[in-house]
Amino acid sequence: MAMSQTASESKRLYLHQKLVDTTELERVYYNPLPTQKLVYPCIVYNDADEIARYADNGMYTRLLMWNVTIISKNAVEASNLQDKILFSLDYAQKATTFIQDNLYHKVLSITL
Amino acid sequence: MAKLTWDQIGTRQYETGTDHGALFVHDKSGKTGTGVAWSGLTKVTESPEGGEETALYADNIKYLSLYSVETLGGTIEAYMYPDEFEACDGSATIGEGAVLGQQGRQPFSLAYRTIVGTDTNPRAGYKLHLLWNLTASPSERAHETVNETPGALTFSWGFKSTAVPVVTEGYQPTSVATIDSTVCPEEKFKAVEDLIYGTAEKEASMPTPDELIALLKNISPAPEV
Repeated sequence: MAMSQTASESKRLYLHQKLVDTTELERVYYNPLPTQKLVYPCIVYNDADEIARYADNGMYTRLLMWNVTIISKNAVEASNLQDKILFSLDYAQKATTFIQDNLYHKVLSITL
Repeated sequence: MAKLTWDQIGTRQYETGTDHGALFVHDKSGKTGTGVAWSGLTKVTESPEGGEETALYADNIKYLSLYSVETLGGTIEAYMYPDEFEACDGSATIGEGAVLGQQGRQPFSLAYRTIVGTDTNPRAGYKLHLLWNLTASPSERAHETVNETPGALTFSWGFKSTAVPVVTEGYQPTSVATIDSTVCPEEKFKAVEDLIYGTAEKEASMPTPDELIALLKNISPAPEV
């Protein structure tokens, strides 16, 4: 039986497409397994927190948050990709930057 | 003689929440229209005003106290409002999706519920609140840029009421009634609820105070004056 798409899955798919369109990268991974081989530059995003709004004695809307990590071997490329996302997505915020395994990581927090 | 006791298990009652808002816009003749659901209701504040004392003195003592008439005001807060409420908020539709502001304000009536909970049952029942003949006041709407903190505009309206006459003997004009499902007999409560929120066969409608009294007391409604 086919599962109907939930509101949170719709939002995630919107985010995924927006990341692909904005950065023109095809390698956008959602919750990749540790065994998955990543090809750089790429974007990895994971579920983070959520903000609930209440009305009518129940949850009225839900804002979902994702941690989006831009990974590149080139520092300038990583920064450019980060800027593209920051200017195209509302509620996108810089979170942190670090270098690991000779790769530049730029982490953003995005809320939809 | 029984000794007083406090806070027995199962008797620690409280009231919380708000939901099931129903709006009844009045027509030009003052009759309440069909009820519409008000989704996104976040807060209803009832603020009684008046009832102030004027002390009169004579014979070097406080001789008597006169009290001014009590009126009801308050605020409604919500994430959205039904289209029908635009007429109550001073908006007039001038075309599909277009409204003109600063127009006349239609009076309206409102019904909503609050939860009655106890220490042993968080949903022991609920209270139905009926507010009659309200007029919404203009209120501020702060539209803010999207920024790093997600936010949604919460609409807020102040309202004032004009008490409606009660023909049934023994009662004064009123703007507000409350019915508690934990106390009111089930069939009577359901009858009121069916009236206010409608059924598959019948549209939602707001009873007058007299109709409500008649329904709860099993008597014929007093004729309108």
